[in-house]
Amino acid sequence: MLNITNILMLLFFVLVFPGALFTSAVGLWLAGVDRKVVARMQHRIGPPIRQPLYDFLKLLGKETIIPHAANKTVYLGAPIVGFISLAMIMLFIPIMGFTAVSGSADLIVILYLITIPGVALIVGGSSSGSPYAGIGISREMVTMMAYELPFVLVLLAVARKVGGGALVFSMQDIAAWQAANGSLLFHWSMIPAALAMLLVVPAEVGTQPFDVAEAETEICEGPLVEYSGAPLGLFKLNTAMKMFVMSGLFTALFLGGLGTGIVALDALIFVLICTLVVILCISTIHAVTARLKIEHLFKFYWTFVAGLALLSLILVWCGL
Amino acid sequence: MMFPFLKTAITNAFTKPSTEQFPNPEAMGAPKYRGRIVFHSDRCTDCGNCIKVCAPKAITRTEEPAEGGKNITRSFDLTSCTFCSTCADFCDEGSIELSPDYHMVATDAKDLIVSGVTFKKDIAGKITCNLDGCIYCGLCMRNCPQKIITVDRKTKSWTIDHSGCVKCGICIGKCPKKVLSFQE
Amino acid sequence: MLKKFIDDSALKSPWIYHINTGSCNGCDIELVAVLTPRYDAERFGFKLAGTPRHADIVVVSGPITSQSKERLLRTLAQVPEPKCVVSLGSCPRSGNVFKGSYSIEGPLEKYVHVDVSVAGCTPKPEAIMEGLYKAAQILKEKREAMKK
Repeated sequence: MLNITNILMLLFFVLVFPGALFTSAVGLWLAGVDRKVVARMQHRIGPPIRQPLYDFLKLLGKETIIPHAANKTVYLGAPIVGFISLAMIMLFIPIMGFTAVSGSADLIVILYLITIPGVALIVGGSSSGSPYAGIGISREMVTMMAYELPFVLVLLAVARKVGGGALVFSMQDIAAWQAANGSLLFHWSMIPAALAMLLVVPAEVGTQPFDVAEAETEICEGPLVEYSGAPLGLFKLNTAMKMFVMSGLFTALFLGGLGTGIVALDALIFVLICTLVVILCISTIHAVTARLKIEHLFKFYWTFVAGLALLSLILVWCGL
Repeated sequence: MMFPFLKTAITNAFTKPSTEQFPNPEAMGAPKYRGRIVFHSDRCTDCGNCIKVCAPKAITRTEEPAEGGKNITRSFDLTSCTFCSTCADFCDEGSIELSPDYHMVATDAKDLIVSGVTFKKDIAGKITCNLDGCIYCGLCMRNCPQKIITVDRKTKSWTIDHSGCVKCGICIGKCPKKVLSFQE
Repeated sequence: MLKKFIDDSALKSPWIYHINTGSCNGCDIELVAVLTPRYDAERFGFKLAGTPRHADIVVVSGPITSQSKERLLRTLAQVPEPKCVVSLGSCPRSGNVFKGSYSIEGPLEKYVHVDVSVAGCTPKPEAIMEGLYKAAQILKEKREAMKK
C-alpha cells in the first residue's frame, strides 16, 4: 500500500490541494470578501479583497515579542497546532464529488478536529500570562460550549437523515446520498437544522456579534493580547481558514451532490457556494448587529439555535 | 430576534458608498473654519497684542537690528496653537488670518511654524497729545496694547509713560479728535 | 508578484493603536471619525488594534500628564518594530494651553522620536487621514531599512 506514489499523493493532499495551501488561499479570499461586503453594507468603500493577505504578510515581517511570563514552546506552538488541524479538516470534507481521505466516521473526526483551533487559542492565550487573555479564554470556553451542543445536534440530524434507520457518519456516504436524493437543504425537515448550522458558523469563526472572546474594544483581543508578529499572523490566518472550513462543512452537509465530476470545476463551485454562505451568515449578521454579552450568547445558542437543531432531529427521528 | 438595520444594510450594499475621495489636497474646510494661520507681515505694527492674548503662548517675537530700524520676526507655532482666533480678533491691522486650510501634516515640526518678518523703521518722536482738542474720552487708553496711557476725565489729565511705548501708533488711529501724533 | 505583495504589505496594512495621555477627548473622537463611512480609513487597510502588540502606528493624543507618562512609555516599549509614532493635535507636541502646568511632562519629543505631527485643535478627520497615510509610507521605509 505505502508505495512512493501513494505517499506523494498524500503529501500533495496535505500540503497543496485540499490541505494547507488551498485552505489558506480560499480562507484569505473569504476573509477579504467578508470585510468588503461588511464595508459595503455599512455604506463604505472597504478594503480591497486581498487585504487579509497584506495583513498576513505584514505580520510575518514584524518583530515577534515573547513575554517573560510566557511558556515559549506552548506560546509559539499553539498557532501551528491550530493551523495543522484546520488544514487536516479539509482532507475529510468532500469538495462536491472529490474527497481526499475518507473513512467510516469522518464526521466524528471533523467534530473533534474543529475544536482544536479553539483549544489552541485557549492554550496559547493562557500561556501568555496576561489577565486579559485570562478573561478571553474563559469567554472562548463558554462560547465553545454554547455552539458545540447545537452543532452536535445538527450533525446527528444529518447522520440520521442519511442513514435512514441507522446513523451514518461517513462524509462520503452523505455526499453520495445527496447526489442520489438531492441536497439535504431541499428536504423540508432539514431546514431548521440548516438554519441552526448557519448560526453556528459565525460563533465558531468568532465574528461579530459572537466575538465576545476577542472583543478588541473591551478586553484587547482576549487570548491574542500578547501575540505579535508571525504567531499573530498565523492566528489571523487560522480565523480565515476556519471561515472556509465551517462554510465548507455547511456546503458539504447541506448542499452536497451538486458536482459535475471535474475536480477543478467542482472546487470552483464549492468555493463560490462557500462565499455565498459566508456573505449570508457572517457578513450580513456582522453588518447589522453589535457584540452580545457572553450570557446572552450562551442563552441564545442553548435555547434558540439548539431548539432549531432539536426540532430537525425530532422530525428526522419520526421518519420525515 | 430583531434586525432593524437589515434592510438598510442590504440597500447600502447595492448603492454608491458615501465615502469621500482621498487624497484631496485642494479640499478646504467650511467657510469659517479656523485652520492654518496666514500672517501678513507687511501690515504688522508690532503692537504685541497677539502675544499677550495667546493662551498657549504659541507666538514668539525676535528682533534684529537693520539699517534705519529693525527686522522683527513673528513665529506662529502651529503645533502649539489652539486655533481660537483670539490673536486675529485682537489684531487691529488684520495682519493675522486663520485660513480654512486644514492640511497641517508634517514629518518635521519646523514645517508647522508660520513666520513673517516685519521691517519697522525707527521713529524719532514720542507720542504727544494736543490737549486743546482732547476730550478725554479714554479710547487711546483702552486700546493701548502696552497700557501706558492714563486718562482721567474728572481731573482732565492725559499722561503717558514713554519708556514702555512700542510706537505702534494704534492710539493715533483710534483718536476721534485726531489730537495724538509723534513729535520730537 | 509575491515579492511586490510583500513589499506593499507594510504600506497597505497599518494597524493603529491609540493612546490618550490626558487629552480632552476631542482628538480621540476625531480619530474614531476617521473609520466612519464618510472617511473610511479601512479602505487603505487602517484598523484600530486593541493592543499595542498588534500595532504598527501609535497615535498619541493629549499633553502627557505625569500620571500617564509611565503608561505611555510602557505602551511605546511594547510595540513591535517597525513602528511609527504620530502626534495628534497640538497637545503632545507642545502642551497646548496646559503648557507649564505642574502636572504636564511633555512634550512627546522628549521621550520618543515623533515621525508625523498632525496640527490642529482638533485636526479635521481628513487631516488625520493624511497624517496616518504619511505614517504608513514612513513605515514602509522603515521596513525596507530593517531588511538590510
